[in-house]
Parts: sequence; structure tokens; C-alpha cells
Amino acid sequence: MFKTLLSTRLSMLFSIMFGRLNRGKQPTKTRKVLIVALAVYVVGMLLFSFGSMFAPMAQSLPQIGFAWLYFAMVGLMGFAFGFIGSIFMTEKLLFESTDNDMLLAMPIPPSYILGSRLLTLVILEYIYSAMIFIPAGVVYAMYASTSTAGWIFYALTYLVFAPFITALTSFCGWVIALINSKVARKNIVSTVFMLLFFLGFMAVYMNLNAYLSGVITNSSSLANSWQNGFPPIYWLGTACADGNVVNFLLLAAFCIIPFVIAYLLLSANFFKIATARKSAAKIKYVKKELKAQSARKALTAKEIKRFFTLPIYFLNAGFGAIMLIAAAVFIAVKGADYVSMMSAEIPMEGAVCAIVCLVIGFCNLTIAPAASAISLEGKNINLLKSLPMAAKDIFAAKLTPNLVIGLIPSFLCSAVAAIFLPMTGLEIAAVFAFPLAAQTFIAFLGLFCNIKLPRFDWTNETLVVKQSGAVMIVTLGGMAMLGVLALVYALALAQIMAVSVYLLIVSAVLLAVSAALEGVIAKNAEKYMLEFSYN
Amino acid sequence: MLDIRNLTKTYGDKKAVDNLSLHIYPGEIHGFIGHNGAGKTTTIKACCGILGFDGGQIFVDGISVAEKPLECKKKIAYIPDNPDLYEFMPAIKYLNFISDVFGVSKKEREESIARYADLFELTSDLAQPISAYSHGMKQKLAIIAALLHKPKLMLMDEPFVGLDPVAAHTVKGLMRDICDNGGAIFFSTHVLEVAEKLCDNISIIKNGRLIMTGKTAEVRGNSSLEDVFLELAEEKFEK
Repeated sequence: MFKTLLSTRLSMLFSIMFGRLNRGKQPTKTRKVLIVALAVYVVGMLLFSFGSMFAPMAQSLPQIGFAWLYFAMVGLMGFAFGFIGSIFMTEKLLFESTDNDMLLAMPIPPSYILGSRLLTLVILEYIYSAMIFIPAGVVYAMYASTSTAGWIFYALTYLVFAPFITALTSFCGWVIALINSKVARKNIVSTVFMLLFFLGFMAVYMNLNAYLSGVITNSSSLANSWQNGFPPIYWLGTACADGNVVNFLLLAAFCIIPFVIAYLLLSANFFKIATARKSAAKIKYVKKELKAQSARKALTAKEIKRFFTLPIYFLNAGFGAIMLIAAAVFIAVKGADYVSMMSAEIPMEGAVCAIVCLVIGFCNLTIAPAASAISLEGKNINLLKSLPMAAKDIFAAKLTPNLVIGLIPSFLCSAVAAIFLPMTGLEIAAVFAFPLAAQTFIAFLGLFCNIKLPRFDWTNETLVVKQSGAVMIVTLGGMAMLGVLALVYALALAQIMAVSVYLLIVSAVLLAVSAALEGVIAKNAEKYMLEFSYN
Repeated sequence: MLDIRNLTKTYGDKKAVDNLSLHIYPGEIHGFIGHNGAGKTTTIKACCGILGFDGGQIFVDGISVAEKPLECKKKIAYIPDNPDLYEFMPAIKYLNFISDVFGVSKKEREESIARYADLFELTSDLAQPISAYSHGMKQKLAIIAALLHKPKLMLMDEPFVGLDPVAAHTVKGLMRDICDNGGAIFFSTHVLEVAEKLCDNISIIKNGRLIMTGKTAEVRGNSSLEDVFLELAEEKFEK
């Protein structure tokens, strides 16, 4: 029974990731190749970037006798990456799945339901942790060495680490679920929690480079404070660096015991938490004058409301907007200082324009609500289809929030850059044109991918918003696009044209592709809409 | 009001609806009965313009569903078998949203919402998010939403599932009112007693084919509708 529950949950997770691959239809060769290529690209990109991050530490720390600190850093990074990656979906996956009632009505012990969900999270954690442990291990082997026992303990640390992170995220999810069950507007609670986590993550991320160089320069004092202040990190480091058995056993106990406690506690309370929603406080109805608007505006307003009331949607598909506003403030306050510092290090003409476009463009990639807007209809797709509205208007309503949420902060950021940074007229034009074109392209691409890869049979929105094929293609494909654009210019065009001219040409191409996508969507809108089916 | 001509819909090799023809006139409550998987929901969805079909034609008030789906949808109200609504919205916002989409005037929507919410005892719950509603409350809300634009034709898939006896009685009364005012209702049901008492006409579908249609009294003959239906179902197994 447990095996069945686990395999059901995993197949659901992977079917969400890979579109209709598992829906009984034989996938085409092209589709298989695309999916494999996408997976290779994602994994490759993550492995490479984390490997590059660990390389300086692998070169310096073992040489000054702090090999254990390197492994401690690997553990900390693995923890941060896994925790941030899964915290937002834990509460939804554990307690808010729409199949709760169905499963609880069956003769299945609640502990099995919870256990299968916890194990799914552990498997996800293994995937996240592998992105840190594998490149960190490879980089260490390239620059330094440890004993066979050290490598064995490194592998075992990877194995015991995922349950530990799952235990912590589950406790957090439990607290959120408990609070949600007591309040009427539970989305506000989730939003506040998620914002706090995101702000924390951003604070760490923004200071990561400084922190990592701090590790290298202040390794001695840092080692002492961790060794005395938080021994598990020291146990981890010494187990891997020195092959210390006792310290590994201590670490294993430190990781496994919380997981066992989490499982026992949560399974004892699972029924209560999963069924506690209906006791939430009732909102009293006070009759107010209703506001009438056009059908198209109503549909767009509905999309915007969904965007802002679904925390996981807002934070995953729109966080770039917050980053853009933060970037605008940063440019206004510290932009000029950075330009003078940068001009010494990057002696490229138009470097400021290129970097501003790269930063805004990167934020634009993360603003892609259109990539999951259709899938989020879920069971309501028939309701949407029954409305007396042209399919192209429905698609336009799905697209508009993406453009509004993306273009306004992009424009703000471009304007601030134009005012505060030294650029020529052509460069200013590029700084406005490129983000506008990139955001428009991302919105159309997202909508198109979601039309082609819709998923309506999800059990909670998190899976669609975070891991559906359309979202992955748009975000990761967009990153690849930025990388390729930068490479093409650096390798082939830097001698031929100014970066501003290149960016203006690219903007024109992106807008042309967006127009083509718009044409395809509008032409086939009714056909696409008729093909959508929940069943 | 609803004219279905030779409707055919296939899923892969299976014919879900096979050359079905049916005519529903203004003022008529038409019951659609059949065993599970007979093709009732497929037929109703095709009539609403939310499911494409492979053969035949469907006209709503003389307008082709395939050619002018939007015109047809403006005249129709569709109540699905499962009331899947926008759960992130409070009920009142949902009703306002539906009113906007169907272009219901401000005055009319306020009057209709107040009237139907009172009728179904939902007024005090209108501010609640739909996610907090029970199945029956969602069904009531779906019915209220369907009535807001005063549809000429109501297509209902198992409309009584989840309703309490009072609400079911109210819905039956509303159905009769709509038809008395020139509208028409085409609904599927498994509750044969309801079909027998409420419907002017009844059609029976089996394996995608229409096997019997006519006035309720004619279909029933001297026996009950249940007997007729069971007899037809037995024939199926014999075949």
C-alpha cells in the first residue's frame, strides 16, 4: 500500500514536470529529445555554476589546513539550497493536497499518507542536494584530496542530509498549516511567511560572494566559532575531510533523529491538520454596491486577483518584479560608485548598458505568470470554456497581467538607469528597448508553451507554478537565450558593432518573434481552447 | 430552442455519441437519462460549445454552435455535474465576475443576486471564499450564477446532486418558471422519479445512441419510468 501511494505521488510529480509524457500517449521522438535536452541543460547549468562557486575554496582552504571547513561550507550550501527549494511546496504537498479527502476516506493509515508524502519530499531533497554535493565533490577532487573513508562519509553525508532538511521544512509547513487553520484569510499568512523566506534568501544571496571570500580570508576565526558554536557543522567537515567515524555517527544521529521525530509527530497530527480547514473564522457579508465592468476587464481582473491571492504564484512567477524595484533603488543609490569601480575592471565600451540590460533581462525571465496561467484553471477549464468570450480574448486576459507586472518595473528600472548612469543616447535607447522586448517575448513564449503543455489534473497549484514543463522551458530557455546572446556578441560581434546597436537589433528580433507568436495564438485560439480538457 | 442533428462524437475508436438527433422546444423541460458512460455529459458539453464534435450540427435558438459559439453561449447557461468554481474568489465576487462576462447591468445583477441568494439561503455566506463552501453550497452558487443573465436555454448535468431537499424543490420551481417564461431546459439525471414528475419530454440514450424520445407519458406508457429504463438496460446486457 505504501509503495503504491509513493509511486502515485512520484508519478504525479514527474508527469507535472514533463507535460503529457505519462498520459498514455506515446511521446514523439522530438518531444523525448526536447525533454532530455532540457533536463541536461538544467542539470548542467546548475552543476557548472555551483562548481565554479566552490572552486576558489577548494583551491585555498585545504592548503591552509581547513579542509573540513570546505565540507562544512558544502553542507551549509546544500542545506540553504534544499531548504529554500522545497519550503514553499512542503505545506501544500503535505497538508493541502486536493486528494486528502479521498485518501482519508480509504482504509489507509494517515501515517502511510504522510509517510509517502514525506518520502517524496526526501527524494526531491536528494535531487536538490545532488546539485551541490556532486559539483563540490568533483571540484574538491580536482584541487585537493581526502581519504577513502572521507569520500565514503561524504557520500553518506549526502544520504543523511536530505531527511534532515525535510524534517525542518515539514515543521515549518506544519506551523503554517496550523496558523492557516485558525484564520479566514489564510493566503495572507502564507504570503507573509513566503515573503520573509524570500527576503532572507535574497539577503544571503546578495552577500554570498562577500561571505565566501570572508570564509577564505577569515577561515581560522570562522572555524573556531563553528567548532564551538554549532558542532554538527564541524562533525560534517571532519567526517569528510579526515574520515572521522565518530563525528560522522554524531552527524548521522543529528540528521536522522529530527526526521523520525517529524514523522512521528506529524503522522499523529496529520488527520487533525488536514481536516482542520473548515473551522476557520467566517467572514461576515455586508451588502455593498457592485461594480460593473467589461467582460475582458473582468477576466483580466480575475487573473490579477489570482496572481496576488495565490502566494506561491505571486512569489514564483512575479518575484522578478520585486527584484527590479530593488535594482532600481540600488542603481539610484549605489549605481555611480559601481560604474567607476567596474570601468577599471571591464574596459569594454558600452559595458554599463550591457550589464543593465543583462540584469533587467534576467529579472524579466522570472516574471512569467502566463506560463502557468492556463494550467492553473485546473478543473475550472470547462467553466472558462463555457463563457461567451472569444478564445483570443481569454488568452489576452492571461497575458495582460504578465505584461503589466513585468513591464512597469522594467520601465522604472530602465528610467532610473538612464538618469543615474553615464550612457550615450543609443545606449539609453537600448536600455529601454531590450527589457521591453525581452519581457514581451517571455510573456508570449510563456503563454504559448502553456497552451501547448497545459496541465489541469494537478492536486495543488505549487506543482504547476514551480515545476510544470511550460514554466521550466520559459525560465531556463530564457536564461539560455541570455547566455547565447552574450556569447554571440562577445565572440563574434564585439569588433563589428557597438553593444547598444546589437541590443537594439536583438530587441527588434524579439518583438518580431513575439508578434509571430501572437499571430499563431490568435489564429488558432478557438482550436486550442476546444482541445483543452480536464479529463 | 435546441436542435441537435445527427450529432456524432468519437474518442479514439469509441463512438461516445452516435448520430443523435433531438429537438427541444421553448417552454419544455427535457430530461436526458441513460446509464453511466452512455454519452449524456458528452452531448451536453457539445451543446454548450465546450467540446468539439465530429459530425452533425447543433443549433441554439437557430444559431449554429459550431459556427457561432459565442452567440450561442450568450443564450445558454451550463451547470456542470461538479460545481468547479473559482475557489480563490469570495462568492459575491464570483457572481459579479459572471455578471460582467455576460454583460448583466448593475441594477439587474444586484436584484438577481439578492433574490436568488435569499432563495437559496446563501446571503450571509456571500463574503466567504468559495473554497470554504460545501459541495451543496457550491452547487447552489453555480445555479445562481447560471441564472444571472436570464438564459433562454439551460443545460444542466445532474443538477440535483448535492442539494438538500429544500434547495432541490426550489430548483424545480425555478426550472418550471424559466420554461413558463419561454425558456427551455435540457438536463441529465439519474433520479428517475424527478424526471418522471418534472419533465415534459424525456430522451433515453444508450451506448451513444438515442433509443427513445417523446412525451414523458408516452415514454413511460403504463409502467413507471424506472421499469422502462430497467427494461432497456436489460436489453443492453442481453445484446
